Amino acid sequence: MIQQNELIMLLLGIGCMIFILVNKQKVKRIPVAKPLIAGFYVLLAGYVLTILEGLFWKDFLNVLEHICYTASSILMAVWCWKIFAFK
Amino acid sequence: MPLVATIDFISFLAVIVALIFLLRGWNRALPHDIKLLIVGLLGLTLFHHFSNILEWGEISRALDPFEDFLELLTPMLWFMLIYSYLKELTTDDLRKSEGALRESEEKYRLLIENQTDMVVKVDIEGKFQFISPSYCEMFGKVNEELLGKKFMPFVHEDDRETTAKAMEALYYPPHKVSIEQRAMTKDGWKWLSWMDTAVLDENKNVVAIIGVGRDITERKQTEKILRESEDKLARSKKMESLGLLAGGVAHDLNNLLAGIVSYPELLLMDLPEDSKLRKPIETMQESGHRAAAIVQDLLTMARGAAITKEPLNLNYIVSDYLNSPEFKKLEHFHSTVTLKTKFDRDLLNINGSHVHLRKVVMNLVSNASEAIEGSGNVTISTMNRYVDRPQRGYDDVNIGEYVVLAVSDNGSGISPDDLERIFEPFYTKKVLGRSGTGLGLAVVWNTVQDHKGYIDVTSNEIGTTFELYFPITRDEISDKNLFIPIKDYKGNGETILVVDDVEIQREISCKMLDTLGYKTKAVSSGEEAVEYLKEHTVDLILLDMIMDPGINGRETYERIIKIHPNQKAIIVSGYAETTDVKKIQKLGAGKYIKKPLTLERLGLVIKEELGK
Repeated sequence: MIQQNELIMLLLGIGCMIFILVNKQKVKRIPVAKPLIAGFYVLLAGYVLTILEGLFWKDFLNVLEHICYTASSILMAVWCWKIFAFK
Repeated sequence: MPLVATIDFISFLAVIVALIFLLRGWNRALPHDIKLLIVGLLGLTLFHHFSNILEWGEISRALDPFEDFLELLTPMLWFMLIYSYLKELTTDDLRKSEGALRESEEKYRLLIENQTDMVVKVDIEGKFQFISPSYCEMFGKVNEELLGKKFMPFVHEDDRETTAKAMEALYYPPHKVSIEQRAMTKDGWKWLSWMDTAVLDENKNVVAIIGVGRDITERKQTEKILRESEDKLARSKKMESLGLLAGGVAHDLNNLLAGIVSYPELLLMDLPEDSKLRKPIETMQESGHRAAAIVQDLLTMARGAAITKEPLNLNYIVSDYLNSPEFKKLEHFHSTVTLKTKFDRDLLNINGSHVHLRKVVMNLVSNASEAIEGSGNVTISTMNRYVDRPQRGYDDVNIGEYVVLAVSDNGSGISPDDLERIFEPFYTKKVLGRSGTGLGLAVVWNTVQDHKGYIDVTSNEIGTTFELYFPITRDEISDKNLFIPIKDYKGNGETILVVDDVEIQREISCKMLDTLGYKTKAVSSGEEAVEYLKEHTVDLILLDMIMDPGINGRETYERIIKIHPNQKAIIVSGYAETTDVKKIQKLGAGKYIKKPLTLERLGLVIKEELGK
């Protein structure tokens, strides 16, 4: 079953993605942009999986969803490490 | 669900690690709002995982409403983070480009402000769009005064057409021109050299013009001085060659005139007072004297003519002329012209020839009077002047003490073209035959040169001023010669040998010497004289300096003194005292007298020489 909250979250995420895609060239200039943007995309994938798990393969997709969140967190940590731990 | 919990726990740890990195590197140069957004995002993620971990407990259910709300914030925070970052990048870019612009402007400013060349940009109408500080400095204006104004009004009227043509040329390849023009700067008119380049748009249309200019006044002045010097040299050479030509002719004429000038004097001495022939002979004598005067003018131009200089005062010369019949005649002829004099009472003496300087004054006053149409003034001034630095003018006056004779009129002036040629012999603007021969100013020029002086002429539409500079002398003026009766210089039958190649001259000299009571013998060459003196002795020799063909006067005398070491001699010539004359005088010869001879002068000189 699809929850309204999750759908809004997905729509907001997609809106953010469109913004990133529109400003692709500029976004590339963000320091160590790759892990940061990858972290966002993985998070967005998590949102998609949240929706999908309400439709089918609930357990499996739920695990994937959490993996996505974790991957997103790890990528965020890598980004923070590169940005804040190096001069 | 242990698997999901494990995954969430790993995620939880990753966020903690990320937060630690963030806090440790908090002072890194990231904008504060971005750092807060990262904190917010990590905080939300942390909460999310925390709530997942607690999903299996009672607390989880209590947090559900918050969780839903906070989860919605996550994509929004991501958006804000990316957006803030991009905004920061844009601001940073702007800052960098502004910095680069500032740096570029600074370089440009230094370049423009520190160069002496002027830089301007004008639109196609010639209105200023940009003016460099050097241009403002040159024209004594500020930027705001000039922007939007046309440059053409600054350009000299005579150069505007050339400038306009040059501007038109910019519309055609290579779209570059160089112009030299005069412009009214804060220091007056200056010569500026401009290299103009057209600014083209993408369609090759001229949209603006950039000009780089520099002050070339000094160069122009140097060029002008050089050109003037060359002109002066050329003019001087021309006058010299014309003078030589005239002098050559005059020398021959002088010999021919001797008969007309001297014979009447001798004839009149023999004629009774009531003779009918007296009047025609006097007329002949007068004509002869006039012709001799013209020949003297020509000889003056030969620049070697005999000029006897003595200390004299120009005030006296001018006064003498103003009291002369010539001036009375001129005054009568130009009755509407008023003559004014401004004499310096303490005028210093100069070393000069009375006759020639009087002629100079006469010619200048005559010319000045004729330059006035209707009524007007002619002013003669004399003054002492010390020139402490070379003075540029018609002639360049060197440093020294001078007596200046200035003759000015308020006539119509002399055109610049005529001014270049006025001193040339036979150059005249007067009606032929009415007055003058075209020799007047040529005589002035040559006389001034012979006196080692300078001429300056200034003329414009309100008049002309001739300034003649003569070097001063500290010598005192000798007593003026008085009339001497013939008995005082008559001879006592002494023998005089006349040596002259011109027959008529020999005859005249012999006749004069006979009149003076001397015995004469005449020979036609130096060689003949030497041969004669081998067999005979004479009391004095009247020796012509230039004889053709054969040996000249100097060589003749050198040979004679080998035969008669103490032979007395008088030198006669139509030319100035040359080095040959000086040499011969060193050898023992006596005075030098110039042709044509007069009874008194000849008699006095012979008497003096014989009395030694």
